[in-house]
Amino acid sequence: MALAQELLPTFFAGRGLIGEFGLRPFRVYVIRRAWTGTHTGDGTSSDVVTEIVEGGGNPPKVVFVNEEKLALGGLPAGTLDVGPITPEHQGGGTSLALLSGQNVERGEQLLFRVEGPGMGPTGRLYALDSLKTDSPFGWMLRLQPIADEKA
Amino acid sequence: MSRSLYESIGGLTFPVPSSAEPTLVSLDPARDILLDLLATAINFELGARWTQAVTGTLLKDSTTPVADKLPTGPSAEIVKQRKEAWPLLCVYRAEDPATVEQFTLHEDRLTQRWVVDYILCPLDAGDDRRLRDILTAVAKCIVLTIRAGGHAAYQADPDSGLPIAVLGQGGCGFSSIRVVDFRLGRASFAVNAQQNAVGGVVYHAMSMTLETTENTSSMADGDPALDTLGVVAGTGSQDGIVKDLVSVELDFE
Repeated sequence: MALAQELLPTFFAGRGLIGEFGLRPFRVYVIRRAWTGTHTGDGTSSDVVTEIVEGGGNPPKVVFVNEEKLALGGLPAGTLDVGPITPEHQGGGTSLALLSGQNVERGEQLLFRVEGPGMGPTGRLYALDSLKTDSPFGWMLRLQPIADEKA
Repeated sequence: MSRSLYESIGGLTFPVPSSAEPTLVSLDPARDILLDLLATAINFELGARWTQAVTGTLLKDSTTPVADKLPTGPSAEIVKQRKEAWPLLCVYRAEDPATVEQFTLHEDRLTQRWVVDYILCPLDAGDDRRLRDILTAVAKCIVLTIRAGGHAAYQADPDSGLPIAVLGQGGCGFSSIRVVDFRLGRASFAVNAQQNAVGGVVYHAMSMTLETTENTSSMADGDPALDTLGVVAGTGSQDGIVKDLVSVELDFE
């Protein structure tokens, strides 16, 4: 087994430990939404919801993208960076297919719901803007808001 | 007691038929009909050549020239939420202002533009050479389909086999439809500050503008409470009509 793979459980546990101290106020869920009708939004929907967790079931790090990066990237206010998310390994982690929507079928939606301070009583919906997988120890999500933050 | 308008404009009739469906899609039937018609026509006319051409390309898994349909604009927000298959065909009412003008004494006319987007996925130089001409071919196919008012592969008369005109009354409800223009370029969701620069990911697309007119029309049973109308005309004074010169009674069935 490569060294990086051997270290993943350590990263997983360490990131979870930060959450144990209450330093991770946001919870992040991946929603795969399917529709029974012809087009997206037709018929009835069914959601498969999976929470992104680190060690001990604790949430990952969530940071609001600063204003400079928002302006440079043409991103809307409320854009979040989530991670680093520990890749899937023997002791836990998150699969790349879940985050990227690799197995999502045509017409299905891949959404993210973030719950926590300022996210409203039922959380706020986000779409995946980018996924960075260049580090073997953790992946980064950039999420773009869908719903109005005042809703 | 309140009564409905009892008028229609295009494919929308008031009073709106009641429905238990949790959607308002049926309020604009023209969009879905137009989308399905164009997709069917393109797949029928260009499907065989497409299947041969995509072998070994990045679109090899797309068995038809229209692999996915979207009844709305392909904005970046929509594309990021939804899993698309390519090529993607989109049909939607344009955000340009629609105009309403008096057509006859009893009819108004709504003139509105539509957008038809046909989008390929990013292609390398070799695939671009092999497949790019589908964009122009699709545009020409749409022009001819609209001129015909329908396509036999979508709906055909069972006796003659000729296409049924679905763009007019009983279908989309258009009084007229014409192709304004089309152009080749990048999909709108793939254009931003970064991707305008050299090296950005390019989704080649064909974008066509249509213009339709939809007329108002009164419903035959627009005034169900009126059974008879009596008219009396004559001379008189402030005390009333002295002598009936003309008397008319109309019965409405």
